[in-house]
Amino acid sequence: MSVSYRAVQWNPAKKAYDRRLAFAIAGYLAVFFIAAATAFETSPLILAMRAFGTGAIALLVFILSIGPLARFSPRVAPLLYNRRHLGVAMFLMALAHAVLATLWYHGFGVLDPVTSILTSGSPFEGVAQIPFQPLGLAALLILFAMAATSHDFWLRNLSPRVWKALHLGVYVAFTLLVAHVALGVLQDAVWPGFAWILAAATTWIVGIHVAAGVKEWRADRRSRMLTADGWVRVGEVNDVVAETAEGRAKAVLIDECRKVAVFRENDAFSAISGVCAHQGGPLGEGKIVDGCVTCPWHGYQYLASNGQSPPPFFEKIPTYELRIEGRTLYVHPQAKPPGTPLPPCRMELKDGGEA
Amino acid sequence: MSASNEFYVGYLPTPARQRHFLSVFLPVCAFLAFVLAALAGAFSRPTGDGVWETGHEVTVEGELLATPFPMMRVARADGTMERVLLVEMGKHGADARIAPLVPTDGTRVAARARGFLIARGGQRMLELVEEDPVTLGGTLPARVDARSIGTVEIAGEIVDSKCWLGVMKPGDGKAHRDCATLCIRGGIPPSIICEAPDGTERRAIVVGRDGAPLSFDSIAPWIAAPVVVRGNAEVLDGMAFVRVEEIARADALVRSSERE
Repeated sequence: MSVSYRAVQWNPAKKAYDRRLAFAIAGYLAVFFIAAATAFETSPLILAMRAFGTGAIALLVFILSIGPLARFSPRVAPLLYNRRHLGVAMFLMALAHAVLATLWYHGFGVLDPVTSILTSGSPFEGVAQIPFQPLGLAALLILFAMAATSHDFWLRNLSPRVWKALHLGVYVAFTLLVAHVALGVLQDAVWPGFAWILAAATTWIVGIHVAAGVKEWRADRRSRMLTADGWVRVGEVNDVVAETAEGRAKAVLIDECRKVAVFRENDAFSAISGVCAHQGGPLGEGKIVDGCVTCPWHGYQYLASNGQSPPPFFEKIPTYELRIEGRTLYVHPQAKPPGTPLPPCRMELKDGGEA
Repeated sequence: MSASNEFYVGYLPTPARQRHFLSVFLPVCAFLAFVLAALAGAFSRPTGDGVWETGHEVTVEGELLATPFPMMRVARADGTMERVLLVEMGKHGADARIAPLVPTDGTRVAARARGFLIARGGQRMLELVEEDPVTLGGTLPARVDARSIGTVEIAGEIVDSKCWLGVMKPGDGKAHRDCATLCIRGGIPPSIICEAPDGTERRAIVVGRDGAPLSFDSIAPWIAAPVVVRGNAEVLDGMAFVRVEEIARADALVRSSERE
């Protein structure tokens, strides 16, 4: 959360995160060089090109794994918090690979390097002969756009929707990079293990995304739009209380694409949008911390009673009206304008605390 | 705090369960990354045993030739002859610099050339220094030692001589194709590399049927691809040439790294 822009809003967690990241990258490069130098006569520039390229793809696989893994276990959530630093580091490694490859393979000739890359081609038919450098260049441009806009300044000025769409380009970039490797260096590889590693990494990424999607789909199906008089059923009050810990929420699908987070605090329920105004984080998986609903991704906070970030912050999200009829809790699918105060919906507790 | 209710906020202390999880998970990830680095490094394609002695200037003396490509005929210490190709820095041939120095009437020219050696498997190339690399004068070596091989069919890969001899490491394969294309377009002599029956790597410069360089457009489609070259071969002062009659796609490419 911020009221002004800084290049990096450092805190102890981010510093610890980046120290580990720097150690991992330095360690990867060092191990690669030592292993290669031990195995055969080395050409430092070519090895640097290979080390940065393989390291960038390994880091990209790790980055793409974090989101789905966090859907399965909240213990992975700390890795989400500073993921943009992983992304920028990965882009810089990819850029180092690209600069070395472009200068070395496409520079110092009668064509300028970019023309050389874009006119790369072969008259032979067959997948194996498809030029691979333009695929890498396209992926690098996507990663550059993501790294360059990897700041809340751009998030706010591009709008969260546009920013999110831009950053989903990472999946296009990953696809292009898999093709770049498969059609490029794998064509010359002398060790078949590289093909297996690439196949395993691709299968892993596709597999955990499908698994996370299925998990999400099943959860949505359970909460699917049971309506009465235009209201959407959240559930039996007793069941909602049993399902949600104090300060936690039940996420309810109110139409095909919108979710509401119904938070329980003491003997009352409040409903706000299930989507964080920052990066679209899942507020339904958030928690009330210090009296504020807190997003699990980056810690953005909102008051459950009005959907407003506490002063001096200014983010606002829609609120939703709740009602209890009989023993059933309902939410009205019509969103109130962002930041609209609504009174919490209180349970009537019987003796022993049962609603 | 129960496992289900643990909650991480970046600007607050990390809950104990998550901290303990990460203290195991992150080292495991780092270990896997280092194993991957070791495999990727150790099983990378070998870079070849060519050398490029950039920064170490040498002078070679002998007969200067301009065709089919700039080169020097040099007498070895044992009295045999060798041919040392001459190229410019970068991906440029030396034709523009050397051609004006050699008369077209057959007059032989003695010269000294300064540059940086590029060498592989006993074959040498000189990358000329930028300023005044060639000085005319000196002793002419013996006449050409020519040996005709006859018609040959060579299955291999067309590369640019400069990268393959030691500049790029490796200077062949698909990853190197665009570089080889740029080099050949710039006037670096194209060669076909192949594996000899005894398992050693061989290289022959490819030229046209008339002994002149092939046009770039005629050879470009075949660069860094598995091909079969058919033509008449000859060995001049230990350097093999193939006068190409036909080039066709081969079913399989024998890579230099597999021979190493």
